[in-house]
Amino acid sequence: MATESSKTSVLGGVDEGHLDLVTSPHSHFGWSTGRIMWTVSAALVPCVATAVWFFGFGVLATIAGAILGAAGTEWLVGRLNRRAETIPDGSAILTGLLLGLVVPPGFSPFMAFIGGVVAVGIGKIAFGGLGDNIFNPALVGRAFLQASFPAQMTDWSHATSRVDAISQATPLGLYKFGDPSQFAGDIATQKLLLGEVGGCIGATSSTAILIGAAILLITRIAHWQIMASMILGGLVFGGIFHVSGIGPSPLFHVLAGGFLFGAVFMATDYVTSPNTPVGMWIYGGGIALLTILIRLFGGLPEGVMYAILLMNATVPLINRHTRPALFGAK
Amino acid sequence: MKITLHMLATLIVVGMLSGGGLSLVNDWAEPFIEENQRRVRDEAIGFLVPGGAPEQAVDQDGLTAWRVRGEDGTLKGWVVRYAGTGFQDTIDLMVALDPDRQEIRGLKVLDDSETPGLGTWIRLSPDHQAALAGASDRYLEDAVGDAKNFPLQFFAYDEGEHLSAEGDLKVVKGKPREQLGPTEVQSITAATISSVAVVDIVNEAVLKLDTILAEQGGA
Amino acid sequence: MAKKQVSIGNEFVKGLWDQNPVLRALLGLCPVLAVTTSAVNGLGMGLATTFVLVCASLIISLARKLIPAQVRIASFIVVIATFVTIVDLTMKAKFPALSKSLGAFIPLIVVNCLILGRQEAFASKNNPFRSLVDALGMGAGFAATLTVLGGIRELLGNRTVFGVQILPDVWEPWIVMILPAGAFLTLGLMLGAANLISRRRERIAVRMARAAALNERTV
Repeated sequence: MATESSKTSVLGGVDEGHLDLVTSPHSHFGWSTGRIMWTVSAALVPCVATAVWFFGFGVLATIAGAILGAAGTEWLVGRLNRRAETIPDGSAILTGLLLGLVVPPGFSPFMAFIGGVVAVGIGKIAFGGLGDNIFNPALVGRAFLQASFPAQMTDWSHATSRVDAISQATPLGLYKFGDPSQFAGDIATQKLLLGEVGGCIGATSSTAILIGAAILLITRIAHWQIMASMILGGLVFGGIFHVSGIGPSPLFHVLAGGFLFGAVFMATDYVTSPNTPVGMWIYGGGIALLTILIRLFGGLPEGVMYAILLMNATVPLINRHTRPALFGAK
Repeated sequence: MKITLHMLATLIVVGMLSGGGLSLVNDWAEPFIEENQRRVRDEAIGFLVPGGAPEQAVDQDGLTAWRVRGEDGTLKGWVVRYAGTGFQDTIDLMVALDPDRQEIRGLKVLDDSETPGLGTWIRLSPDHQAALAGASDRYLEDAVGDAKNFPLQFFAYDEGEHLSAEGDLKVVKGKPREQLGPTEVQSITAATISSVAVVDIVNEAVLKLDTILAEQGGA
Repeated sequence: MAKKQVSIGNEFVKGLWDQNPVLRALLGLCPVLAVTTSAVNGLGMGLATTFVLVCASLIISLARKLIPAQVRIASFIVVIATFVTIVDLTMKAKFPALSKSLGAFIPLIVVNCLILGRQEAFASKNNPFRSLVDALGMGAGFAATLTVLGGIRELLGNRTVFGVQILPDVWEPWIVMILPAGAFLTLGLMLGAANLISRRRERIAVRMARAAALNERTV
């Protein structure tokens, strides 16, 4: 199989004199890992820009901390293992960037750095590196931060600048623990669309996230099925509960918190999502259902992170049961 | 047959030796264990209402209450011990009340399984205890405003002001101290559930003590 | 199988590394994960387990010829349970604080497979002296691992080791480390490190053996 002619183009590359063997499929649609990762990073630019607009330049320090932690770990482990340089493929930097965008504004850059180290070190490399990780590394990092620094991870009061006092608590937080009436009606929807609310750095502005989604869909990097099933699932399940008198309107469910950000940038991660279309629908719907169950009946106001991590764990099972039958096989 | 007897004999001997040994150890340990429990209880009561001798007044429906009397026999206050559901497992706590049972004078959580570093702020830390023991009026101005000093609010939430024991306490979030009323307790940041649990237990304990004492016909 | 007599020294040392109950045999993980929130808790649990293991091993190996094979497990369990109860009562009587923080895990030593495993695999087949040394080695390995695990978790999660502050105040404690998740993370990383070290040692041993063989040939 590993013929001389194909060794660089299809099978990865020759690394220090030994041949990398890669399992099938060998078909290539012309995009390298690096190009995909950098395009996703570009799709995140609107989120970063709105974050700077609403929360000030301080957020850049937090994001930089996360990227430094993630990429630094990747570099260090690569050096220790004498592996090929993996920094240019951008995956570690993207992990750091995603992590930096899902912590509160004003979050300490040093803690973000720790989160980046955990995201890449424990979320990815401990499982065998890119492609072998079961869980979305950025969310592993976030889960670690949430469990390590719960007070800082739920402290939205540093959102200085343009976000007004009422919305310094997150909309979901207000819904769960406070006065939901402060967040009702058209103004709320408008604010959620713009991002003028309390929340994680990159996850507040629905418009910016949707621009990113458009970039990912036009370049056909992300699978539309995952985004569609998750958003549709949110509307349907949120709607069912809303009609039965439990919880806010389905639109609120989808626009508030990290739902859209999770649907567009986290759930669509190649490595940790199913690779069959049917599987993608099950996966996205499952995330939406779990998110809404956690939000409505759990102890926490937000559940997107745990919902995605839980569904990540089911991906091998989903893949196995939705695999199309081989032609001619029974 | 022989092997059956051997088996039986072995188990009987092992069981008897074990039982005998354990009863000896138990006889030795029991007074110490009781002494330990009594000491924990008395220290907590003495800390909550200092300078008095406790005298048990109520012990029913899971609620224990003590009258604490000074040396001259005057009533110095009440201590109520009650338990309820926390964020995880049971929270066992003691509440101190003034002699007329109109104000809350202190709170000490004796046992809980709350989340370390979050829910566990419901406990009095050694620093708190030292500071409270030193303060004559049990009001620590700088400390009360901080959410990590949650239990201090039950000693005094403002200068000379104690939480009321006559209406249900409420948990509030993010209110400046000057605006807090006598039934409002500032929640611990990111541990709202634990804060609410403690306040609920306190409310229930106070209400239950009132009911029991009313039934007994003397307040 | 021809029985190779192991030296007494090796009987002790094997428990520390080569057959370390936690890092190599993955035995008794429940208390390992649950109580190691601090170095003191880890050491306390380790010593309590060691005590039970040593006493039970001694008794079982003394009585190994008297206990019929059919009821050996039942007899082992009764003996183990007796010593566990003794430890439990003693700790409650003399070390109430440690007993409170170890909670239900002291009585649960009885189901620690490390202890029953050593009775079945070793004490019931070897003389008392050898069993004693084996139990001490295994216990020491268990206690050392728990102390290290507890120490790491306490250091990162609470800035202290054995209650002494090591990290400065600016170090924000990683609360996850004293939660169950931190136990899994730390134990996983420790197992990984142990595998790395033993693999390296094996490689060195193989290389040495090869060199020795080569030497013999050339000489």
